[in-house]
Amino acid sequence: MRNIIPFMLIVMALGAFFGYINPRYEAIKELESQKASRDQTLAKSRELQTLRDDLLKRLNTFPTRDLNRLEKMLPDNIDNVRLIIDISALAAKRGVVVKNVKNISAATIADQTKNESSSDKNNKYGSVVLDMTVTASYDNFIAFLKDLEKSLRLVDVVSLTFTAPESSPTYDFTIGLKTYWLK
Amino acid sequence: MDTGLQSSFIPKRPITPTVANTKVTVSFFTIIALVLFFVALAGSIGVFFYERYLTQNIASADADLVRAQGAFDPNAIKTMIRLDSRLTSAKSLLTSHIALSPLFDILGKSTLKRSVRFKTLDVSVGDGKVSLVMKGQATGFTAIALQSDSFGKDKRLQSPLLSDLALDQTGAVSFTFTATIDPSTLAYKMVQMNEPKTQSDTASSVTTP
Repeated sequence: MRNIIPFMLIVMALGAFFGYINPRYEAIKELESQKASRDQTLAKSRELQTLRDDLLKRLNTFPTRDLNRLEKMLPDNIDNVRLIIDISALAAKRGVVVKNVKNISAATIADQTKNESSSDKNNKYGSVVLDMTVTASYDNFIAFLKDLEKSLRLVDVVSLTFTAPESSPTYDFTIGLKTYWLK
Repeated sequence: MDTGLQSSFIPKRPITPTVANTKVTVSFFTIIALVLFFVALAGSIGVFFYERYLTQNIASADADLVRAQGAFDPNAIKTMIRLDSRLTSAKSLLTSHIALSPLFDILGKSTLKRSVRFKTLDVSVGDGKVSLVMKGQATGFTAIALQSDSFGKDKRLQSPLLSDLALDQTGAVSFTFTATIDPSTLAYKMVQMNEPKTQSDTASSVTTP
């Protein structure tokens, strides 16, 4: 009879351990892992906030004019009409006549975009080749070509074909122009 | 009055406080039981409060995260990502931007002006090279040989080849010239660096094909 109370105390202690402490401890381990994950995320978010603030400061140092020029260099879409207008203006300045522009339709552009190589698909920019025929004297064409190379709207001449005429002082040049836009 | 006489034969005990001989003994087993019980009790209380503390802490962290998420303006981030893409793409495109105009300087310098003329020119850029095909006419085979030497001397023209030689009725020899050019030679950056030199060269050496 004397040992019954200590025995009951031990039973209660074991009951508390297995019935409450141990299950709660498992739950606590889970909660601790959740807390660690939250703390990590919060630390990351503080880092990101600092980074964002730095980037915003840097962004604000960019002159609007430069940003606009950059957007013109690599527009958000192919903006083919603007491109033709720009090229025509360059051509007119050099006495070059733009006779026609091919592959400018939405269908051919979509077709080219669909058939782009896998490396091109990984690019952040899209490209399309427009074929155009212009008439000009040789010297004027070279001047026009130089203007094209320097034009703010980025275009690469990817093909060029012409035949020297027998009598006429002007040539018909067929140019393949690759232009780009940001996807 | 105490006479000192014993009035009773019943022996009397001296009136002294009785000391109870009840010695409480606590066994080792009881001590262990008590220790275990109190440890279990303290553990239960500790676990209960620690769990509550953690739950509240997580709830507070969640609230902080929601606030932090709200502080990020998605549009501003989108703008920055777009600008970054534009800058990196523009840089990459400018690095590979090719200027074909110096090609005409190269050809103008290497072409024999009195004995050779070119009738067609076909340039294509792709696969990491610039390919050139020209059809021309020379006054004779000697002129062809000299022209071949002249093209061979210019290291910017790679794999120059004069082929399809054919003598026509007037004594002129028609031919096809093919060559490739390393795009780095025509890289816009290079052209820009050589701009003043190129301009003076252009003025003096451009000839019509």
